Amino acid sequence: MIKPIFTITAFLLFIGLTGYTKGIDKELLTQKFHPLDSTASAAYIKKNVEIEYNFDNPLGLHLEMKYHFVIKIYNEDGESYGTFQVPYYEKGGKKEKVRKIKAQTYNLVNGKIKSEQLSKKDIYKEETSGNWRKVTFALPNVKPGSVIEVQYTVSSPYVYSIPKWYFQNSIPTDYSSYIIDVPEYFTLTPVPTGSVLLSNEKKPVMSSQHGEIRHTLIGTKIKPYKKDKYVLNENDYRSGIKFELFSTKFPNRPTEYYSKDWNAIATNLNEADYFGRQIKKKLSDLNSIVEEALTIDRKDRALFLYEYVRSNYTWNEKYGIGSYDGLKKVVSNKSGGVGDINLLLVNLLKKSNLVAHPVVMKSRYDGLLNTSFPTLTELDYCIVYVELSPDEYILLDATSKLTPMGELPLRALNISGVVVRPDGAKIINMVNNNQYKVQTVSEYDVDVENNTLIGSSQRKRSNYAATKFRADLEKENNEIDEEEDYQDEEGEQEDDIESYNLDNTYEVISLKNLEDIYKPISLEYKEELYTCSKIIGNKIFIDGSLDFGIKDNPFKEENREYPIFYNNKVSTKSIAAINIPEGYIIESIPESTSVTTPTKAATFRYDVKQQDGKLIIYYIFSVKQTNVGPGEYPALKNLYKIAADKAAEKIVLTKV
Amino acid sequence: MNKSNWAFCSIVYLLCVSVIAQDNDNIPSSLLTNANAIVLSDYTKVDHLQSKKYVVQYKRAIKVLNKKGLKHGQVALYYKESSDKLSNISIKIFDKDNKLIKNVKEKELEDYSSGDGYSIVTDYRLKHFDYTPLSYPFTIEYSYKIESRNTLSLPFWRPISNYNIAVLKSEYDLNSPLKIRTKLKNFENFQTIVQKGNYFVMTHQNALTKERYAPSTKDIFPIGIFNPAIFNYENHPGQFNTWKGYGSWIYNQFLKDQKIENIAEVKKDLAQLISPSDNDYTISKKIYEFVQSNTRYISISLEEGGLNPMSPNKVHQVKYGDCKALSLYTKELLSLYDIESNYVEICAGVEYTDDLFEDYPSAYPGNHIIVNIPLENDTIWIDCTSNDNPFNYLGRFTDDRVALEITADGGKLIKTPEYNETINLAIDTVEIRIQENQNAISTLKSIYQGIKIGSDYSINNSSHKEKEEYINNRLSDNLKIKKIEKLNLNINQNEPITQWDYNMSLANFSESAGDYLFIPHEITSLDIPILPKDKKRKNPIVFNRSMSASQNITIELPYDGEIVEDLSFDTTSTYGVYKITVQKSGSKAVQINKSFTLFKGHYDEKEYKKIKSFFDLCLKTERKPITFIKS
Repeated sequence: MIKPIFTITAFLLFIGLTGYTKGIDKELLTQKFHPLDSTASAAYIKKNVEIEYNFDNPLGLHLEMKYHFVIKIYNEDGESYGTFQVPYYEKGGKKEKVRKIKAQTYNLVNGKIKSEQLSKKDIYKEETSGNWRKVTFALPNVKPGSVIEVQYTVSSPYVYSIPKWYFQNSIPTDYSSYIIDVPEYFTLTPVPTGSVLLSNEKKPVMSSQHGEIRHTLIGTKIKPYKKDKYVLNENDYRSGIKFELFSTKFPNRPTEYYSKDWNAIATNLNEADYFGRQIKKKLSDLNSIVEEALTIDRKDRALFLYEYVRSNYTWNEKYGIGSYDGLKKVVSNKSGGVGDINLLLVNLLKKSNLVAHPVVMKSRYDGLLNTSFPTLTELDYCIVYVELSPDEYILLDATSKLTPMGELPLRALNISGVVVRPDGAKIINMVNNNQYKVQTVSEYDVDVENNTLIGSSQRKRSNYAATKFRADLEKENNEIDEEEDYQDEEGEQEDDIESYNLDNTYEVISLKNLEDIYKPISLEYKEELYTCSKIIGNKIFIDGSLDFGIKDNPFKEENREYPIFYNNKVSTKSIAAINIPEGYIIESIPESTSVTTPTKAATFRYDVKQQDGKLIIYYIFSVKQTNVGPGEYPALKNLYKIAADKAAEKIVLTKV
Repeated sequence: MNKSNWAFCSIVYLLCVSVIAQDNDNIPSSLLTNANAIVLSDYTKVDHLQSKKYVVQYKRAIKVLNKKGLKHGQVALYYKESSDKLSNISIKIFDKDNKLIKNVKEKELEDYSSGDGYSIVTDYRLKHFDYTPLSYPFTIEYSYKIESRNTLSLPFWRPISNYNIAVLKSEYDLNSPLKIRTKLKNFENFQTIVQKGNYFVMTHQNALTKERYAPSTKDIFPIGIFNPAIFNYENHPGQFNTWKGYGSWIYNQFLKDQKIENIAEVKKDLAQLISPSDNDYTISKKIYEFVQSNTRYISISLEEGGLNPMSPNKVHQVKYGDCKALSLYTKELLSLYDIESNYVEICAGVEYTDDLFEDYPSAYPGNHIIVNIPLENDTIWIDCTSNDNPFNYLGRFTDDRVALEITADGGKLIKTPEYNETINLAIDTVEIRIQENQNAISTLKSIYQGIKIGSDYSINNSSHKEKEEYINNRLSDNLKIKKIEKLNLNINQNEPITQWDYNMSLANFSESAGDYLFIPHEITSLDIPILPKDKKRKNPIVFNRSMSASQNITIELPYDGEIVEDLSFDTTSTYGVYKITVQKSGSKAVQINKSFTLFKGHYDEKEYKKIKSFFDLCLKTERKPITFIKS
């Protein structure tokens, strides 16, 4: 008699443990906030997709992706989840379709669950731009407390590219499943991201026509992903899955490989019309450039060609690894995307007998490239690898008008890239050589009567500090204010901060080498500092690091899980001399300090000395590594604290 | 502020000089000052020969000088699919030597649905050309033709479309034998405009620059508005030459027949909320709150688009609508209880209080609909698109401006309520305890009323993190905040009042040197206007609303001591009042009380220096720390 009860109990226990589909019941409708995150405005109770390959006519081979969402809304902010916009693509005969849309809103009315269907009339189709369309619909009567259920199917002829699926979202997810039935003709490689534990099962589908194998991935009780600071791209850490096409083998056809390994990808690229073929293309219009390059010394040849492309071609801000319209068009238009411009450079370098190869990669903000899972579809950027000597190479990106050879624009700086050589691929670790170097020498007199420090500075900005200055200046002149899209009559704010008359004033009296991107920029300023001193009775209190340096600690969190990514190395040195005014002597000065992190990633040094009637402040801050491991975080945070504390200390002068 | 950020301002001047020297067109160099683009020629020809149609031919050549000007060189052709026919599109691009570098074909234009950000479906469309220039300057020349059946208003003439654009020549030529009412706004301020009958031309107009606290662009930029006396709008014919007539037309064409049909069902939904003993005020409030909590603001514009609201029945069914639909729906709900209310057309906007043109009935600049409910003792005002506003509070979006009440009797101009400094209040109570290491912990309580509530009602629905970031904006930039904790926001459902309570831990709050302690007292902002040093002020100075702030700050010190100089101070002017008192409270604490009031005003540009020096004095006092000496 015990056995049946045991079975039933075990069955119930099983249901509870696997957290299988929660029903839409009163408990869910009355739930006020989500157990995983009480501040969440909404939550996915269910976020599922089932993917099948269909071979039926007249659509031919296509993907059928059935989506099923159940979302609980907690407050007004979450109501936007009640409006769906499903994009789809149509180009010529190859059209995606969004069909079988069914949606309803559940609300608790007088203790009873009431549901309202989405009416077909409220589903709209719209062209957004080019070949993209979208289907939009807004569910009826969505309000705090509502639970909505949405199902729709997307049919896509683009069988070689299965969209990436995220288990983890910006709101909590109770249950998310990804089921894909893969016919025997396809071999797919699952490429996961993130660290949420998923259950994973593979088994043959009964009664399948094409030897389908079903992959089932399930995640439950998934917390929303956090947005940390100094992270490249949160999607790298967000739990998801992408099934990449490895190979296809159709009946009576040979096996075609798509992404076996990087070497196979390199071979693919080398033979592709938009990549390898472009590198070999004859560009007769540029014969004279190549001829001239060949007359130049080998060691300067790369610079000549880099400069030619950088100065004469404009990047149209489009990403992509290849030249899809062809280099001939790029030469005539004098503009192109990333792939266009950099493949043009490779073409010219090779023609000029230099050893050069394209490097394919992910742009910085697109996230980290997982080199263990070779894939073409994740790559969106391309730069150039040039050998200077058998053991030395340099990376070039000609898309940035302000970047000299030797530096790379920020978007091109990532951890790894893949060099595409004629004989295969080579993964390289990209080192960020951009160095932000600034040296400043200043001298001040103290105007006691007006409580002002009056003086001048000479500043030299080298390497990346000069590039950034030029780029910021251009942005300053060229900044497109996004707010203007909404307030289109408002124009630009002439925010001349220096003229507010309450803070310090700076007047540039000389500026050298602004135009030549290979030269450091020299500036001379005249200054009047009103905020760095206080006069109380017969004492003068001067801020320990005047108006420069670290004043606040950017690291506020106690702990850190991910590495800290600096955009560049830093080397800043300031020497400020203050002439001690007549009749005053030094009463006290802040103590010298010097601190470095364990791996010497960052250093801070502060020193005040008296010399010939002057007080001299020496200030050094440097960062030698652009990727700092999370283990060093406490030391790094402490370094900034010491610097910020020092800035608050005072130099005290007393009248004799 | 870091020294390195400041060089740009000076360098911009240096670079501007070099640009002027380089230009080699027949453009006088004075026209290049402050210009990111120059309209070389702009020509609008409007033929309105029948009341149901107009044809506009448009041609424009604009020289874009730098990247900031690129947006002015974009070609964006707006049209309404059901009533407009767009044709003869030609776009040419010339380089800095005026050589033709591109001839754009129509199929290269992207055709989008024109979103206003709130619409998910619309038949307003946009043809757009996205151009990446190889170098600056470049010139773009384009032309097109539109034939339209909508003659409610003919195309405007806006020779100056934005700040930082200069105009070499802009023309408007109206050809019509029919009667047209014309308004030429702000023309009197521009010597560069000449009018000959229905032909207007502007030449050699320098670029205007935006100044802080300047009036609305609607009061600065010249605009020619041409409304045919007899017109057609989407199969609705009409004529009016008074606001009464305009209101009548709107009412009769779009509002009159839109009633709730399934009255019984709707009343059943409301019956649970409304009891028989409720008076009109209470019923109105309950209905408003019902609409707020049961509907969402989404804009659906199809077919009759701009002026025709979705039916109240549909709103009740789907629980969403735009401002017209939600307002009409609310009005109909009120009428079920015999409460009269009015559909009000208004020009909404948070920064300025733009009035409808009292002397010129016109659909422009109206862009929003609200509702007013005239009760026995008071008139109630509600914005049905806001899910958060307390009953009878409009906020900055629609306050203090001339709007149009639309009823069966036609249109009537009225003014929406003004909120002044007795309502717009911020009261902060701050307690700070400074520790030996100059760090500090503090407790704050801030009560905001009237427009000082800002976006508190909607931020109430956001995440904790977003609330923390939001409250940060109210705190002084000089504070080095480590953490904000125990943040609690309380909003009042009946009045526009919010209360924030939170704790803060601060690093390096005070600064010490020997026995001296320097204590800042600017914790939360008093919202004192910051005015830039004037080069030469061109526009009047406008403060749109009066408001007041007061603070009560208690700072506990780690040891006994004395205040070195008395910072207590007060100053009054026609622009505002500032007062601060600082005194010791016990042996180890300092008590600071301050208040600041800004008066609403519209001042001549000649008063700029005077206004600036008054507010600078207040700001300097705010930033001067208290000096305390250990005993």
